[in-house]
Amino acid sequence: MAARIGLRVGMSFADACAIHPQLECCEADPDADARFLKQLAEWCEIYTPLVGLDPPDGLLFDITGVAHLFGGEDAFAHDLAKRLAGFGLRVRIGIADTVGAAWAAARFGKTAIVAPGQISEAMAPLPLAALRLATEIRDGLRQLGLKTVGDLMTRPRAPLTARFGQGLIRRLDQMLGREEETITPLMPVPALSVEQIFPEPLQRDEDLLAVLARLETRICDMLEKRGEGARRMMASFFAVDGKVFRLEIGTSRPLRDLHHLHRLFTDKFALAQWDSPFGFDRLRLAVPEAESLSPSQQDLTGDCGGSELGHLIDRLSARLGESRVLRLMPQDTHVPELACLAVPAAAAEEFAPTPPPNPSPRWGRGNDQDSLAPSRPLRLFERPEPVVAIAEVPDGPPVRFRWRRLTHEVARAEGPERIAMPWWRDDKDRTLRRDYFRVQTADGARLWLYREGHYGEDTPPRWFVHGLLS
Amino acid sequence: MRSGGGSGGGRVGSNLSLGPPDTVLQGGLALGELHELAPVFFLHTGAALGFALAVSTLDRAGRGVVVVVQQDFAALEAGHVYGVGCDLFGVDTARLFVVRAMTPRDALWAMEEALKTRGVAAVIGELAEEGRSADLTTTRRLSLAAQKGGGLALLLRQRPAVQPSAAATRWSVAAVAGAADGFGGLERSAFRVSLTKNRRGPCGSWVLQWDHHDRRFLPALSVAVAAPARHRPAEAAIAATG
Repeated sequence: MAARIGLRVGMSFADACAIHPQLECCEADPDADARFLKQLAEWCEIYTPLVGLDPPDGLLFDITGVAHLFGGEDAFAHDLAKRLAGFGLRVRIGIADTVGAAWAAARFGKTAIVAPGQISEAMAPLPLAALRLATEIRDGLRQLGLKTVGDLMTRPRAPLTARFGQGLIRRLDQMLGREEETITPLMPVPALSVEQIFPEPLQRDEDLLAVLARLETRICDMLEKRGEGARRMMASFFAVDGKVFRLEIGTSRPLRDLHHLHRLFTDKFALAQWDSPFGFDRLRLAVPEAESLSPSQQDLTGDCGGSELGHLIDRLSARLGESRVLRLMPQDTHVPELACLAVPAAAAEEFAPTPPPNPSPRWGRGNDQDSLAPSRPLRLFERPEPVVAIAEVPDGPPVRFRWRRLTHEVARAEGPERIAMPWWRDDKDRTLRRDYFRVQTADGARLWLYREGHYGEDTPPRWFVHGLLS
Repeated sequence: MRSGGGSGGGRVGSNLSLGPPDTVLQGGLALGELHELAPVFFLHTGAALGFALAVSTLDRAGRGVVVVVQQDFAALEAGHVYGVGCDLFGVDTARLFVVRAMTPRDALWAMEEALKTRGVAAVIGELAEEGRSADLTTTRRLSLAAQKGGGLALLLRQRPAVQPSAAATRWSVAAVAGAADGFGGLERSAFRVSLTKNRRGPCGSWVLQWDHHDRRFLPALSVAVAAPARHRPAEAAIAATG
């Protein structure tokens, strides 16, 4: 409509006002527009999972096999336009066999729907802008006297390619279906999906959870028929006002246990704080990732409770975050900070089956032979804490040290245990070495201290507390 | 303090034998109940966790896992659970899970869930400071969860609490210096454990040594208090106490 009264993109505001004095100006916000487009695309998933962005102002849908659910393509277009109008959007819709033709039909076509096999006829009268070409190419073609797509279709291809490059011919072939063009969906297409539409929007938590439970039952049945379990599941709640809220759960092993699944979703749901004043009219449950799960893998009554433990890990991970439920893995390094790696439990493949009654320690006993006390602390500080210490020179244990504003006398100590820190270097570019001591204070408490640097050098050495022993 | 009873280790019925304290505990530390402990003061927080971990390894008949839940602030104050040290201490880290909770509420929720799960032999939950969130109501919930799961429930507060709790026992733990071994080296880990609340009987105080090779408690026959004497044992004044 703006074009009709003579306004053009790129025109200055002053010139535009000259044409239409009542023009209102508001600042363009391309980021907000992009976000809005994305949000709209997510909601449009209710029609088909294959929704792609066509920035800055378009969306592409693959509705193969979907239109009949709405009673035909015409009814589909009508429904879509009506719902989007409900959000306050005016849209133009084009439906065709190819992406290129649909794009052209939406923007330049007289009719929205291009009948199958009628692309050439429908596209011929359209201007060259319908081909998604760069401006220079369009100008060049216009100079040659070519104005419509039809003009282009009749021309020999080789000279056009020679003059304008491959892009031109590719666009033409895409539009006419000679070359394949696919839509990149915004969200990956799930393996399985079930959904429920509500005639009246639902708002209460209990109602939503009840519907979710029914969908879970359906999807577990589907998984069972396929002999699969879910590794990830996503519940999408489509709000009446066009927003989509999602809950995603992951499991450590393929799952189709209904009870456990419902616990996971209920936990996540309880934490969700959604702002949806008008309620939801559709709920979809999808399985983006599944794995085969034979009946033998399923634990029915495992006496060591393996599957119950797996469920516990899943629930703790779902509520607290996978990085907060951990197992400790030994690493082959002397550096204390790195010798023990905390790994998310959900990522671990299998829990240890019945271990031998006296498993040999995984970290070796090398340092322990001469001592009755373990050589490593039970507790390690994330960052070693500096202390002020007095020690016997040159490399004796501390005699007294001050930590967190308290002074402690050392009654006994073992050490030094020298640990080289491979890639730490001091100012003189020498590899840093730490001399570790296990010290026991007068009242029996044991700490793991180390000295960095040596006495007798320019800079005095520094002492740290790294951990607490028992 | 040299009460009867030999070394403590392993499970007897539904109790974990600690040795000398077993008499007042009517058999040992009860499974399926909540027990609380706290270090005598901050420097002994390592010993407190050590005692808790040691106890968690006593039930070797079952094949369950140990879940340690640590509130973030507790780990900041006194250090994270360190796998290398745990392993050397006798804890099977292949069956150890560590849960890091941001808030006391998350920690208590994780403890409760873990306690209810079959396959979890012990849950040690550590709260920062006095762990005020673990009040009478919450500790009652934890007790019920422990009853349901049948495992060992240990609540570790980093500072002794004065508030009432539904725990069956309450302990104060301190590290204790063992007898000098002649070379001035460190002896086995030893704990002075004081039972300050006991539903099954009187309170008391004992010194227990932990044998991390055989994974059992030994009663300390004598406890030495060594004067700070650097590491030259010849000059140390040693007072033996019985």
